[in-house]
Amino acid sequence: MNDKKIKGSKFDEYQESIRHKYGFYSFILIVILLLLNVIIVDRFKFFYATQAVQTILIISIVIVYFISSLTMNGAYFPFRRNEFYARTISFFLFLTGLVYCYRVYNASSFFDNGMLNDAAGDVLLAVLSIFNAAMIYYSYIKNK
Amino acid sequence: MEVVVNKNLKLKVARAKLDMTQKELAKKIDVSRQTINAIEKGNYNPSINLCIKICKALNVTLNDLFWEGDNNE
Repeated sequence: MNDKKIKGSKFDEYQESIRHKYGFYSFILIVILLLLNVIIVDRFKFFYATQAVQTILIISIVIVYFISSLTMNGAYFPFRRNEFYARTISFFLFLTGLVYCYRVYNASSFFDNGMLNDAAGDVLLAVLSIFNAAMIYYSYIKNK
Repeated sequence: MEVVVNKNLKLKVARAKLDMTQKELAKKIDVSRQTINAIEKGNYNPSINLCIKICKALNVTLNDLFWEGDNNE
């Protein structure tokens, strides 16, 4: 029996199948969001945010969807995961979120010429970092 | 009306006979607990390699666990 692949890989076959499934769904989601963004901005001329913030918004939605799906299905961490690894990642993501919160706190405005500016992007990144930290820690607690 | 149950109750019974938890079985065959749970619930069809590992861990044959038939026998 060929056990080499199973022993060498970090995830077991069920986790890999879940990751492939939600990776594909995330890819479809990012394509749909990009198309929607193009339609909203180019077709309807609704410039709701700067280009950087548009990108961050789309990526944030997809990352949140992907991480939530993996966490709920127990496929975020390798089954032979290191507890220190899980706690360290969530801690540093939480710290990153706090840094973005500080930047948001010091921002004077979230709009430039009626468009969401970089400070609004920082809000998204803060939410994204803290959400991911919470999900990773939840995954760690759930599978402990 | 016939009710189709996709749950792998045979696996659950074989595991229970050995007084083994999902976590213990998972550790023995080097997979995650969620994988065992998904197989028992019928949400995942394991590869033949994994089936063999499970059978070896539970001291049963492939027929005993994975052959079609009455799930409650």
